[in-house]
Amino acid sequence: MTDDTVDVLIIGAGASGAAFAWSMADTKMNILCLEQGDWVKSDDYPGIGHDWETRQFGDFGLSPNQRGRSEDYPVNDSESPIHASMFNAVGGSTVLYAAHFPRLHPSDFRVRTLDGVADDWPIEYRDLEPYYDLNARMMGVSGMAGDPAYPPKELPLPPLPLGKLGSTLASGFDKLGWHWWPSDSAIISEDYEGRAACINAGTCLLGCPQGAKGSTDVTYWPLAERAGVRLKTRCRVREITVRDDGMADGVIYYDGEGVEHHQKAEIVVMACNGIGTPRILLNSKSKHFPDGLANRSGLVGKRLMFHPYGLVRGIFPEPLEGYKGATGCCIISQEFYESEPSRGFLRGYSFEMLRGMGPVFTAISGMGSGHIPFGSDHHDGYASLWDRTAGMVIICEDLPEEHNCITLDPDLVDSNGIPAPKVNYRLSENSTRMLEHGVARGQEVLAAAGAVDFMTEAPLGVAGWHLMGTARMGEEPETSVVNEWGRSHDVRNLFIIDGSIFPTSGGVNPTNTIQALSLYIADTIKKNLANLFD
Amino acid sequence: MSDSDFKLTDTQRDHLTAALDRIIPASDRHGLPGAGELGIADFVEELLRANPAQQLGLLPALATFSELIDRCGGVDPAFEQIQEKEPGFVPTLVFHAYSGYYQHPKVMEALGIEPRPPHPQGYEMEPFDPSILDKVRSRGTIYREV
Ligand SMILES: Cc1cc2nc3c(=O)[nH]c(=O)nc-3n(C[C@H](O)[C@H](O)[C@H](O)COP(=O)(O)OP(=O)(O)OC[C@H]3O[C@@H](n4cnc5c(N)ncnc54)[C@H](O)[C@@H]3O)c2cc1C
Ligand code: SF4
Repeated sequence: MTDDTVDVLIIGAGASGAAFAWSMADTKMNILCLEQGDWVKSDDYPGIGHDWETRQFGDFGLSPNQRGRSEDYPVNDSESPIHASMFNAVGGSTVLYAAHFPRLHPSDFRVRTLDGVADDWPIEYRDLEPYYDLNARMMGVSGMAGDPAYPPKELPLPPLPLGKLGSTLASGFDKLGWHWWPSDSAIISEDYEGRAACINAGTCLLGCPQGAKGSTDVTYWPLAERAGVRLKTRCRVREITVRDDGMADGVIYYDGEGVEHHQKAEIVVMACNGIGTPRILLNSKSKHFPDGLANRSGLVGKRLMFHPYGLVRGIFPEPLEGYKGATGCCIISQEFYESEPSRGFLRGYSFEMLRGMGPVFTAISGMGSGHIPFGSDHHDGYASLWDRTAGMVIICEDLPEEHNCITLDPDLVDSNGIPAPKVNYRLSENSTRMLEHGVARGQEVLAAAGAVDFMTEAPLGVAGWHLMGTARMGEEPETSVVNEWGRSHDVRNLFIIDGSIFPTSGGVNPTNTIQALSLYIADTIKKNLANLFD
Repeated sequence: MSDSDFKLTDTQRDHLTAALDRIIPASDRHGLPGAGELGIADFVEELLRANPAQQLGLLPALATFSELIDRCGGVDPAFEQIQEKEPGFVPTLVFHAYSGYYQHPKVMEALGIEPRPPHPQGYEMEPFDPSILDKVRSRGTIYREV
């Protein structure tokens, strides 16, 4: 079935697709977004039921392999110590994200110049700064101006509460004289733009029934649709098609009934994330592009960066009320963010504080760590952990390496028969040393805050949630896939706007930067409409 | 695909309940019931109904447990022996027992939290107090100028 030609066709309705769609809407062009998932309704979320914690082991799991819904595609990550984590729905992975919303630092755009490794970005912090500000207003970001780790920035809403747990952890940083600051969070601390404020319920990683967390189904999408963008759900793209002149002419996709369509478009925009985008490009082979679309550099799928995570939890003698409050958004520390070669590694990491665990997670994680046995000592073990844990994740900058990559699995397919992605990833020596440093410093600061025992995991296997680098941006067609505003070097009406285009990863969560970039790309497209394909 | 007709037999239920009470026994000191006594067998039954694939993992081992109870003349020695004979049985049951037990309203109350899901009421927290940042601010900026 051939559908009518649209002006702009966006694939993927997650963080980047939503921001881009909203921004492009004012052009009044005919804009369509195809999304393989569906809308998630407020009462679909686990947080309203007693079984909310156990649903993370089932239909609201972090891994698409675990959920196994028809709208999820499987990912073969058996050859990676870090496993892919994402969500496929309107809102994409922001449906599950913790909404920690830091920016990159100015130095992150100059990695090669400052530290002699990896690459500089073809743009600078100041290019993105107005788009970070715009994105903060659109997503509803809570936080506190004046963070000494950043150039000045304004945020529209006051910080989320720290609670007893947050203040306890802050005291540890203060004792050591280390940097900390309340997190920039895409969670509204007050009623904002028709959305109700966060009620500190702590189920953020299983979605927010309150709509306080800025997933793009409640931020950008309602506005984009009102402005005329069309969003079709349950539509899974198989490949991008090309004309004889090598330009993209649309996509082939399957609708919810499995019917194949050919959707024609003047401009195709990929927003399927750092795994989904290279997957579809590699699956779009033609006589012009025998190795996959836009892949003359050979870099599509290569240089995958995850941000290796470490986890350090402290066990405290007193209850901390840690089940209250937004799960991932409390405090950030960037004491060890900027490069300092004497530490034994290049580049750096952030600490982000975590709230405590709910009753079921306390039991399951205590079982894993050996703190909570079954049998006669069970209740003593449980009492020593329940509401007495607080800790942090360590988010390490991952340097790009070509052997870390996404390819197409020769056997595994999704429910439409489209080849699944395969992840090959090895932890580098630099990352290993950075993680060791972070775990040791994490224990130090938790001890300063009063912790008496620790639980650690590094790298954190489930933490494949930041997907970057697999179609990098750059000035040279030989060494990059897209230019400095997301346009493919090889196919001039194809744009990529998700985390795939990051040349380097920084040491912070990427979504604010992904969205700022997609807003920047949309604006650049709008400015260049007259000669877009030159 | 769920198996809506699935039901534990009386024997299966009794022996499952006995195993659950070995995993999480009652504690007077902590004011908490055992997992079997609290009816967590119902939770496991519901789980096996919703995920029939898990029946294959659990039910044959439960049958072996029943045989051992008859043969050894009691639950305690059978519970010891099943851990050697079917090494996956107890860890699987521990996971289910912990999941069912710690979402039970009675247990939540005993832990000092309201026996309800987090939404829609949420929790009260004190708003952020910026004076707590005085020490960090006093250090001045720490980012690298480019
Ligand atoms: C558990 C978890 C916690 C996280 N916490 C944070 C955090 O605190 N802070 C932060 O910055 N980031 C966080 N992230 C990461 C964040 O969610 C992602 O960085 C962000 O959503 C990526 O945006 P995107 O637009 O690139 O892709 P996504 O948001 O993943 O959206 C891609 C969309 O494309 C769709 N799609 C893919 N392939 C196809 C196809 N072939 N056809 C049609 N549609 C397709 C998918 O269904 C999906 O909806 C977290 C992620 C997870 C999973
Ligand atoms: S803590 Fe706030 S953001 Fe998180 S799920 Fe609850 S209401 Fe939503």
